Amino acid sequence: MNEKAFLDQIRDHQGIIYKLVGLYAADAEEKKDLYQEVLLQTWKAWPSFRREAKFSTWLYRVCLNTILTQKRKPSPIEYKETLEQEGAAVPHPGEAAQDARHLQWAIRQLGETDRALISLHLDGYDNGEIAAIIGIRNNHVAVKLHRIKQQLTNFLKQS
Amino acid sequence: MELESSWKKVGEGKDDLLSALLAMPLISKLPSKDPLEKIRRAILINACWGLLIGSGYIFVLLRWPAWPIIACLGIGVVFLFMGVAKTLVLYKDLGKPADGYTLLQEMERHYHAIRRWIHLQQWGNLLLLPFYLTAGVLLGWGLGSGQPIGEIIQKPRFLITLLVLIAVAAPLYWVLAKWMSQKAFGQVADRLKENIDALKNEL
Repeated sequence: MNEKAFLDQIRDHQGIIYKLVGLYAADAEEKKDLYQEVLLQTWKAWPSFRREAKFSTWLYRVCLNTILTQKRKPSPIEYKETLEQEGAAVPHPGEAAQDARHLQWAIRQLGETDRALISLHLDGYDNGEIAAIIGIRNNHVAVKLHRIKQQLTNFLKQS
Repeated sequence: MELESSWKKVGEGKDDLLSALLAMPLISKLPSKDPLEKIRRAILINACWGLLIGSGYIFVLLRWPAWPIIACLGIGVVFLFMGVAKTLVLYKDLGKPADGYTLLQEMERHYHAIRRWIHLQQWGNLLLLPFYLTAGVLLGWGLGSGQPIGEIIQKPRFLITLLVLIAVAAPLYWVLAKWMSQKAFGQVADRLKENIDALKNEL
């Protein structure tokens, strides 16, 4: 597949990259680095994509691999800064957008691997699929998700 | 708040930076800060230097073939070339495509590659340091004083000088090598270890 076709495919799924990088980048500079690295690594890995899995699942895995193995700076970001960034990014103002911003902020307060688990869960992956992507046992995922949801509820109450 | 729908809403956002990158025609030319690629480059440079230095030692061996020099530099050259071979194997391993790895496996792969590289650098050079120093002192002493090397090696002053040099240089090298490797890749390794432990921790 040529580069244009690859980019078209990525463009259709850019929400995954946008969401995941937004959860991990500590500042604008790192955001740019992570976007570049994710695109480069997906491009490099593209020939080995065997179409046994959905493209979105494959992209999710490559994105998380790239972000978690290459992230250099500690996060999370300050609350105020995060809300300003999200305010610029979420297109429809209103209660739903406010909720989306709060949720993104709350997820950012979690540990780095917990962010990966909850984002997969919220995107509709079941525990078995999450276990296969992350590389941990199925019941381990369930235990972790239960604890992460409790933490998330507490953060959302605080905000 | 319905978490799933709010999360879906997050994904509807757009970022000009990402859109601009996706509009670029040459994605493969994007600059990379992949630590694994940096290590591969460093490994290759290191292997080239190893070969160059090894060739220099062989020249010295042929030019001044006294037995203590042959013994010290001979051991040094053999281990140096063994180190180069090991380094090249590591370089090849790191170049293998990452497809099919889970997130945990990929992080472990990066972590162990970084640690192996740091370990190889620190210990390999530290163990060879006494041999290089012995050959260097003998050669310098011999060329400076005009005395035969067989005679120098029997002098107690030579042994004392050598021991003092090793005692000073070895810890200095160790501290410097540790600081440099930590500065170059140590932080990445530490963060990876944190994430690996967090995923493995079942509590």
